[in-house]
Amino acid sequence: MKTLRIKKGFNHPLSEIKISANFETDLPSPEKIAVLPFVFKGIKAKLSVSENDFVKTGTPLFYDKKNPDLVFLSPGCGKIKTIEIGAKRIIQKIEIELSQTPDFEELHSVTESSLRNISPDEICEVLLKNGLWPYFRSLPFNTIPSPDERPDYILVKLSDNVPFYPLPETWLKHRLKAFNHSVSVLKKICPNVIIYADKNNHSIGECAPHLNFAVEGKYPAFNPGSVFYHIKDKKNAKAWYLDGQALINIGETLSHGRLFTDKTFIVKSFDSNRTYHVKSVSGAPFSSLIKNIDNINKNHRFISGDIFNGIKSSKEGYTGFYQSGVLVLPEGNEKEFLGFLRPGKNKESYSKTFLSALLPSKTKTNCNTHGEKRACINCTYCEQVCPVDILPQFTMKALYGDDIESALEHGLLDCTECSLCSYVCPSKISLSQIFKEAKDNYLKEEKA
Amino acid sequence: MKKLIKNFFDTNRKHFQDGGKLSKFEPVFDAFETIFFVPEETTSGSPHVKDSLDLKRFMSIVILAIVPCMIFGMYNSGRLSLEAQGITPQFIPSFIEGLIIFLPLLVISYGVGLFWEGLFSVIRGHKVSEGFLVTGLLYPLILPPTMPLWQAAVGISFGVIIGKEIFGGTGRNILNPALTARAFLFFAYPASMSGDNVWINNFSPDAVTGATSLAVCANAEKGADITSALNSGGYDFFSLFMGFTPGSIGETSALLCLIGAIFLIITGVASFQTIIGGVAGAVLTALFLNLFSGVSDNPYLSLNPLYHLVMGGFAFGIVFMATDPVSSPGIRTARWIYGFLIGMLTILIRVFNPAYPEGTMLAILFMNLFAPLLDYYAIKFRLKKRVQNV
Repeated sequence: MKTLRIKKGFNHPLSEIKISANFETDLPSPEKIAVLPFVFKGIKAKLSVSENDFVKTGTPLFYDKKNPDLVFLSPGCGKIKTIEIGAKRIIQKIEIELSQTPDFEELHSVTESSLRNISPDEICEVLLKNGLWPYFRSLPFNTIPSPDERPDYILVKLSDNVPFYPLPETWLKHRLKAFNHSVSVLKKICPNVIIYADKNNHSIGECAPHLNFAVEGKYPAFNPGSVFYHIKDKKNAKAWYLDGQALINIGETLSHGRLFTDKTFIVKSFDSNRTYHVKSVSGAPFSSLIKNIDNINKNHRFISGDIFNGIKSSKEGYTGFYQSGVLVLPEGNEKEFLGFLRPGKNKESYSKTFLSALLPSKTKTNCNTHGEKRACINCTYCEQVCPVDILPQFTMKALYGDDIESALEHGLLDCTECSLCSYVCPSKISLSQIFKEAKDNYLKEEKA
Repeated sequence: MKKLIKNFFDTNRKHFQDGGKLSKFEPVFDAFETIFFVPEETTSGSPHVKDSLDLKRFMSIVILAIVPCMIFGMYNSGRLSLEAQGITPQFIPSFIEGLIIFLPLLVISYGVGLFWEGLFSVIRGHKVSEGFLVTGLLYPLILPPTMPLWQAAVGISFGVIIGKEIFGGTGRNILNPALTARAFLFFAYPASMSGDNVWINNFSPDAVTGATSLAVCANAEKGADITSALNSGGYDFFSLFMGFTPGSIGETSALLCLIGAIFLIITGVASFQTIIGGVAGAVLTALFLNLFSGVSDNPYLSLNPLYHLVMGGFAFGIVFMATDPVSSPGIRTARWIYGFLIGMLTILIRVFNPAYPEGTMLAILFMNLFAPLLDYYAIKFRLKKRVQNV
């Protein structure tokens, strides 16, 4: 096992909070769950069900218009309550009212012994039919790979230092069989399966022998884009990535022949200031994950995911397919009197311009922008934190002038979308948003 | 107090919003309101959290680093002025005298500069940027205490308009605005600005000294020992380092510039690459020139490099002017070269150009022009190492 040290990055003060593998069990079980089709990038969802239909766990809900083979299955069993369609007819939410008795759709199973005589293409077909394909995402656009594409690498992330990410020991325990099975399935598709984790800080137990890389470094060292940037050695190398929890679900689904959608969430509420894990299912509503959700006052933001890349939601919201964190963050939508003159004992900052540089653990986090937007002043903070050595301020300026060629040459496609550049910018420029949009536009142009 | 101010802004906001009588002056209203209150704006999506540092804080840190130089500069110019009048300078009276010299310049600088800044913001409809807060403080500090106020006003107008606003305002300027203003004065009104003149307020012809250390060096006789020429003019190393010498108001104390530099480097606001590169450039160039001191009779060639660091405006320039991020290269490796060349050019101008006793200003402005070129090659070099995607 090699060690991959990634030098650049920034650990947000929240990531210094020590998390223990504690579970909260005193929570209502979910009455409804939902699938949020908009989180799947690069697909155009076409419904195969309508409101009031009854679906089992594993019944197809929708498929991609361009690849009808790419189906998305229902994570639960019950009646479809609402289908919410947003702007540009993009399906926002499919809500399922869970029934009392769970029922499962029969899916293809692949046992360890049958794996030997199966071809890579057949495996891919099974993964597609079993609705497991969406677990894969391909770099650099973070889209679901098209079914006929094959990668050079598959990256599997077991742990992360982003605030907050479930500890591997909470979902890896007693899952070694599924883990092993899943890894051998992936190895059928692509021999280069790279499994990485933070070995020093997280216990990954029996799975340790599988690790290829012990990654070390500040956030976003564990971002697959960042890891891939540091190991790729040739032009146009293709990589897919998936989460450790997805790996377990693939293994369990294939060996049992029915859809597994178990998911362990980590919940951090700044309202009650508690951090805990919850065992639940994919698409669970916040109300089944956050304690005393009705007592949380209005000035809080509900986020599915992490503080950098989570999905902004509401009290009535649901968790996303790829997100395993749940955050309740104070909005901070108040005017602060003489904010820039204060010593800043509890102000978080990458720079050392506040007193908090001496006592980083005392900082308070909220969603305020802490200042107004200004022109770039070339302070180089974004370049100092960028994990993939992009020169964000120059790339941003190139894109400002529609010079996409220069931006690509600067490594726009290597951008891991970690949002650190936007975070540190004292001019409050949304660099990562600009890069994301540019990448999406490039993808559209390339496909057209 | 806080409530009173908040009420004031809340009741008057409607006049400045769309449709209000004064809606054109919204940028000015916003500039004043945001001095008192950080806006309540929250992030719209990812990232959900943002750094607490904004440009106001960024610029305040620079101002904080300059303040010691400013206070000492006031005291020093007041002290020299009293001395020139034949009065024994006490601490408090010197300080008051300095205040009388410096305050009008500061008021002119901020008043005239902010007027232009506000005007351009109102016409363009964008926010008033904080960059001028630093420019407006730096500018009077690099003027001689004897500067006529109207010339100072013309200078800062030139600096803000030509040096910054015509390029699009803070963040888009090529040259350092404060130095542009000074360079304008330097060429437009050489009688008030050239370094060999006497720069002490109320200077009477009877007083013995008065020329700046740079003028002493530039006017030293051929073949003379320059260190003893400096010493006999009252400029030993220690007094130059401490700054009890005539010169532009804020630039004389190398010690306080050093303290400012350490503060800026620790807070990460100024790039240490520029500062260390600049000092290295000056020292190495001066050492190199020392080798030729026997060849020519230019006495400047033999000057100890350490004197170069503490004389004139080099320390002030390299710490507070050259580190202006906007007019510096945007790549940190390029900043080493940028700083080094500033140091080198300063020494070359000082030693070989008798017309300009002070080289720092011109060296920094010259390298400001080359910053984009340095960036261009630094980027090219970096991109070679990338594994390209397309």
